[in-house]
Amino acid sequence: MSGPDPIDDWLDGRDEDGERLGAHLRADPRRARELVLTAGLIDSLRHIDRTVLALPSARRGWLVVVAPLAVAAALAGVMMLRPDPEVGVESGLRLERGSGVVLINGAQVPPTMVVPPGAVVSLGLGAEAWLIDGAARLHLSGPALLRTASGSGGTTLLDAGRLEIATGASEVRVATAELTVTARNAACALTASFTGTTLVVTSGEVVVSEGGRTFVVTAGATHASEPEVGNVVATSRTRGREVLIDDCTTQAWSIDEGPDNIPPNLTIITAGVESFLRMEFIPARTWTGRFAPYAQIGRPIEVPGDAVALRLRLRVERCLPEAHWNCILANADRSRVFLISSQPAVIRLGSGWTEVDLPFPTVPQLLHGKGPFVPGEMRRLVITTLYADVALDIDDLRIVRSAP
Amino acid sequence: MTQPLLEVNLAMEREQDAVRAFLYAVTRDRDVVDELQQEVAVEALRSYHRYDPARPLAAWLIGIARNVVLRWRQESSRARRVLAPETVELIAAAAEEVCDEVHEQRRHLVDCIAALPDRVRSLLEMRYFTNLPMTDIAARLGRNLAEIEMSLVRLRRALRRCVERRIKDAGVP
Repeated sequence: MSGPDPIDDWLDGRDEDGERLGAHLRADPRRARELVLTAGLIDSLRHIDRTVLALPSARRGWLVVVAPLAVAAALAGVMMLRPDPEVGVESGLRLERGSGVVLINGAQVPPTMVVPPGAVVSLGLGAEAWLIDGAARLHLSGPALLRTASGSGGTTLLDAGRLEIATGASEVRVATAELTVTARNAACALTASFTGTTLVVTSGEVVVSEGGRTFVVTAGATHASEPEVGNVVATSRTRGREVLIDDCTTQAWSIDEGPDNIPPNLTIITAGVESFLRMEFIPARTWTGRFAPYAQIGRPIEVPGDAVALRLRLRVERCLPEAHWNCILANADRSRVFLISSQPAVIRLGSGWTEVDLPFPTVPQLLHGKGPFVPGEMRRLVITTLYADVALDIDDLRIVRSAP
Repeated sequence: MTQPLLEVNLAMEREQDAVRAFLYAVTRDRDVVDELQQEVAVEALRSYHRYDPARPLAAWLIGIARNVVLRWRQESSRARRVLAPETVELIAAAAEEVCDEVHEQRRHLVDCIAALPDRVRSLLEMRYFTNLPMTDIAARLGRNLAEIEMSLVRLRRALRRCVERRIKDAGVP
């Protein structure tokens, strides 16, 4: 259908490339106001309390954080649940399932399907999936947590439950059994937010710096780096030195105990780790009505260099029945949910307030994205649950410091 | 955290409606809006020391949002699905002008929705809350796609008229 109005056509997707809208606005710039107001109205509709719509089973949840930190007076915010994106709406990445259970937005998928941009893909225990011919960005979440939920233990986490594959990715394999993420083609062939190289850390801790940006990977975790010539990698055992990635043809490294096990294609060159981390809490209202597999709340705080953990006091308010997969991992009574960290916290539904420590360097994994993690730099704290439809209350957040 | 930063942060919250409206107008993708809004917030907090209080905060934030969008446009390689830079500029300029109106619109929206018939509210819920594709809505309601598309267009316009009337009644320019 070609709508009667270029603004409606654009907003409803009938004007795919925006050329008609652009021509229209150039001819009549005043109509841009109407576009913004209508867009604002649509955006507001997403965020209103669902009870206003008088519909059953409102998916409303909330999250409040108060942080009695030395450097931040108080943090407060509200987070509400976010409906998952629809599956199969438009062409995106083609996902071919290997073995195990693959879930997209909580639903099991057939062996091959098209994953729309923005869909959340969860890989079950032992699942393998191949993501081929990327045409859009895809977010993966969950494999490590599912593995942990099975009782296998360990600190298994796939990039804080989130992997972004940007346009141009030609083939990425995700294998939960090995907890590796490997770009099949040369790292150089991949682009933007995920360049395709993987660090597999079997023990210890790795600090990765890229162009002045630094982040930490803990043992058992996997982290996709963005290697380019000159990028830097260092292990905790090599604190005081850094490791240079010397080309972009490398596909993966295993770093075991320290510098002796650093693959030969990495070169040790220099030093530098963080002295303190400054976290940023995004204003809560940002998330009203929405809840991705992560949420961002609050305002900046500084975390001192001797911080050993981030302590959250929280409770699980409810798991929404219509989205049971979004709450249940291993058990069938929906009594548990899990927070992603290198040591996932198991919170029993209805068990009241629980204190959970997310130890450093786990916390950096909770920080959104793969970007900077350098002294004094502001970062966003991401409270992550494996699935979306879990309502959490967090009423306290503290930094736990090491004993003097 | 310094006091000015706190103030900027609090003030930013008040201006998020306009920023989000602008972002949605140029991307029409709610997930992208969330992502880009975060980028805007981060960038604003990083560069708050450059903010001139004599300038409206919303305009400053939308300026940042415009840069974020243009960068996203470049990086996302979605040239066929995003607006041309000059169109983004046009919309950013408009967003600066309607900041207050966007905010007021949101304030009155709930009342306007509450006045809608159930059937219409259900349509709103399916499309904008649950994010169902219009084809799915059409199938679910046993109507054809064109009908659903037109219904939503009319519904949005009706809501716009309603909030405009309420804004006017409330005496807000």
